[in-house]
Amino acid sequence: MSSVQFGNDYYDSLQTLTFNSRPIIESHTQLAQENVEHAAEIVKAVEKRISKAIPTQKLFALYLLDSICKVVGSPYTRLFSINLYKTFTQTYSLVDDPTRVKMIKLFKTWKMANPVTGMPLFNDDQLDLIEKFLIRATANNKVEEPLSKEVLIKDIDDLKRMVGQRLNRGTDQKTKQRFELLDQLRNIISQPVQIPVQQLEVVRRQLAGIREDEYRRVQPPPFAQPIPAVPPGPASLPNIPPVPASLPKIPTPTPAAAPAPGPAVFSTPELQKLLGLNPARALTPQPSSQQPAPASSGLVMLSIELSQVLLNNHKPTADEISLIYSSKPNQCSNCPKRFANTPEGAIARQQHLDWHFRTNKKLKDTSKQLYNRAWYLNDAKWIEFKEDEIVGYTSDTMETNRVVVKEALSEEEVNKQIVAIPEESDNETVCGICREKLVGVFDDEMGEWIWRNAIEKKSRVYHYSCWVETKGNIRDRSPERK
Amino acid sequence: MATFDPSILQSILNKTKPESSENVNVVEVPPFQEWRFEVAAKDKLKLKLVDGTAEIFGTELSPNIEYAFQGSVKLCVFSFSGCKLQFWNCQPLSEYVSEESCVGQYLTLHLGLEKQRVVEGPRVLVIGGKDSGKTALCRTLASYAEKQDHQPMLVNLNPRDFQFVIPGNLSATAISDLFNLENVALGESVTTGPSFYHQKQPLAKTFGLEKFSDNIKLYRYLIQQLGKSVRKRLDNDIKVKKSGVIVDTPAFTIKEYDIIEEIVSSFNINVLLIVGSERLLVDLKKKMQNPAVTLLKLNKSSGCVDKDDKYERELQQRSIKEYFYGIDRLQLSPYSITVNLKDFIFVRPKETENVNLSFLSGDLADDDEAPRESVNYKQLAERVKNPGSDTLNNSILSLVDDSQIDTLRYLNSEDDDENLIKPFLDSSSLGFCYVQNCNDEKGKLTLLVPSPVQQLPTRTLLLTQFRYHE
Ligand SMILES: [Zn+2]
Ligand SMILES: [Zn+2]
Repeated sequence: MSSVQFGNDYYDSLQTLTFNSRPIIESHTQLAQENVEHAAEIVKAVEKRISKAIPTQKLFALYLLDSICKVVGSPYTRLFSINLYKTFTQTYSLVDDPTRVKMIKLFKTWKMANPVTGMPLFNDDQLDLIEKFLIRATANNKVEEPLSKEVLIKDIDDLKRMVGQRLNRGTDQKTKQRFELLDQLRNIISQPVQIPVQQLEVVRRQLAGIREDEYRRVQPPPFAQPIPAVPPGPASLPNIPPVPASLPKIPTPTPAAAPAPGPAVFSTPELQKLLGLNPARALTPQPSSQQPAPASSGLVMLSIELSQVLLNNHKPTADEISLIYSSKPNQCSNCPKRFANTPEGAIARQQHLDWHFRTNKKLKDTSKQLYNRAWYLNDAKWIEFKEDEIVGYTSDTMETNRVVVKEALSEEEVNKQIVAIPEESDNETVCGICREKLVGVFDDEMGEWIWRNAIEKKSRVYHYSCWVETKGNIRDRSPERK
Repeated sequence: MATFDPSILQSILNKTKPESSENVNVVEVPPFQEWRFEVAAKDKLKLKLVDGTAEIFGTELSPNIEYAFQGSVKLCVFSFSGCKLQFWNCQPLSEYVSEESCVGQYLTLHLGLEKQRVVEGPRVLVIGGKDSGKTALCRTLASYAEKQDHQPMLVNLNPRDFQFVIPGNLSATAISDLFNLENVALGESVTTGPSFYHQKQPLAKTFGLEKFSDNIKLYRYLIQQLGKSVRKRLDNDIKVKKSGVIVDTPAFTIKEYDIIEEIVSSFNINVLLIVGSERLLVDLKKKMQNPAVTLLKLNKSSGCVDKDDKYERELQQRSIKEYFYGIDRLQLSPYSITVNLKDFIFVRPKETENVNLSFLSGDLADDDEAPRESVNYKQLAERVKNPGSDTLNNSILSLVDDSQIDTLRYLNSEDDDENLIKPFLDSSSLGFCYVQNCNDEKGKLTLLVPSPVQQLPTRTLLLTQFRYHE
């Protein structure tokens, strides 16, 4: 297939990217990875999609760009760098504010330097241009308003909208609580009373904290997972009520002036806070120490781009080491396996412990029970085999089946099976299956020498238990046979 | 007058340690360093993690387990955090703490690979000189991936080595649980009994010879066969596919470039790791035209001990013993069975002097539809004529699945043609048995088999070069 043809097909296939679909983004990333020889055309197709898509769908194509660059890297990073400023700024000017926030978040991940090379994802010049653009764009949005009740109410309404969106997606009690708290706060502030500026300032700071937290909850782009470490600040709002509660109450309310709805939902300081910059220092790159390495695995991995330079120079950080140790803090008491401190981790741990319990019980019985190596699977069965048949905790039927068969033989039953020792034979013989000795005993009732737990077949003597076990086990003992 | 007596203190200390009657030694390993030790053939070293975290080739140690390492083994306990270890029961042949370790680099590598585990995980090929630490690297990468909830496919193409099988095989095993450190073959393949870790389900293609160079055509043929099955498995199993493949190899040099290329195409390799040798890296960079393959060099571990032949043989014998009898903690019971020689078809790999190999390199790499005329099966394996005690005694036989073979036809004839050899080589091994005795007069064969059967699961047996002595 020619590159042009490939590029056209790729572009056509991108028409499906009408929502934030992880599978579509992943599969197109994979395609880009597998067809590096068509990289130039793929880049064109993605840029075309970003530019042609309707504004509400542009972001997803941008996420694809991001995914390809982060997963595959060169040559895509180089090729996308060429038009990156144009691609980004044109998109920014056409999309709505929530999308702009997501774009800024995305942009921030691009600026994060690789820990070893010190290089950001794209060409520095392009990133600098975009940064300048963003500072101008966010500053143009609005001049800073003097702190007033109106400003706060607007702020609250905006936050309520964000929280409300989360509520619509179905979420927890804390979100509901936050929504109600914001509502109460709004009621209090909109009462026609004089509130001291210091109090307003406290409210403003509190709201800023909430906003920060809400930004964090905005769904991150599929591959760029710049989820910052959870700050020490409260995620819910336990200390909000005291502030308004201290406000003087006046029993005769007069209608409050309705807050003027403003188009600029995100105020300058917030956007710039989001950028992690202040305008004065906007163009000085941040020292890396200001980028705390969070414990979130997504972010740590994000910074690792496989290269010889990296392999030669990088020493794993504490956060990276934690990925294979302390990120799963609960270690099994029987074995080295670790489990995460999450509900899923707790369930997996419980199932794992149950498994230990069952196997330990059987291990104690090994003296009574003979175990042996099973046959391997042939190609056809192995190809169909799923590891869940081994590690799946629910489909443990094969083990139970075995136990049922084996435990059916009681000691009493086994000892009832006897073979009288022939006159000419020694007192001892060897089991034809397990090769262990059968030693004769004198049975008082019968008045003769016998072997217990024994059976004679075709003039050979076997343990009765060995005989029973081998019977019906002619061919396949592989575990997938039920 | 009472004076302080250190020996009394020591004896009290000893009593509080794992085994009171023993002389317990303590080792402290600083962060990013490793303790290397070697246990003599007849000894058993016991080891316990007392403080901190530690790992052996990526497998974490549990502070609640007293590990028992049966000689001969040479191992490194590495610690990211720093740790304290106790060991007792025997004095190691050698032991020291090394400031140098490759494990930090392995973790960096792992994190880079982890990033690729999105839809189709990385397919990693590890090559390097003898004793450069290839196997340690593969184990570590597989362990870290497992720790992050993946199920990587671990492939061994070194017939002298063994992973969940015995030597003489090429194998592929999805790693869905920890390795067992006490088991020389990394852990148990499936048994009928319980085990400490979930058992593994390997696919084994028996090569039967010790060195890949003993029959390079057969070796390459089996690599293709194994690769084919692994690719099909990945297509069936999104979890394993997402986790990727890790391929361990014998010591290749640039002279074996054709084989390396064969592996790259058979397993769709995209990351080629060269351990230790700068020269090999340079040579490979010149030859490797495939832009999809990333070449990376890793340091050779200074802890890699040269495994002499004797040591290697001891390990091989032990792996065969463990296949039949299990390990101390979980003993298995093999069975003895007597069969008629005439009921079985014996095939053995051909041992070749280095013949011209070029003609095999072409069409074979293609998929099923490609014409197969170019393979001369006569050069790969042959039927054993008149099998008897001289050829069979003490040998290890591989039970090759016969479901694709017209066994009746070949049992009733001496035929030795492609219709036998091809399906035979395309089939995998169901397990192994050991010839305890061959009675030529009666035409009877007494075999030690792993499972209690009255009849073997196949009628086609591959006679390997490996011998076992109980
Ligand atoms: Zn456990
Ligand atoms: Zn028996």
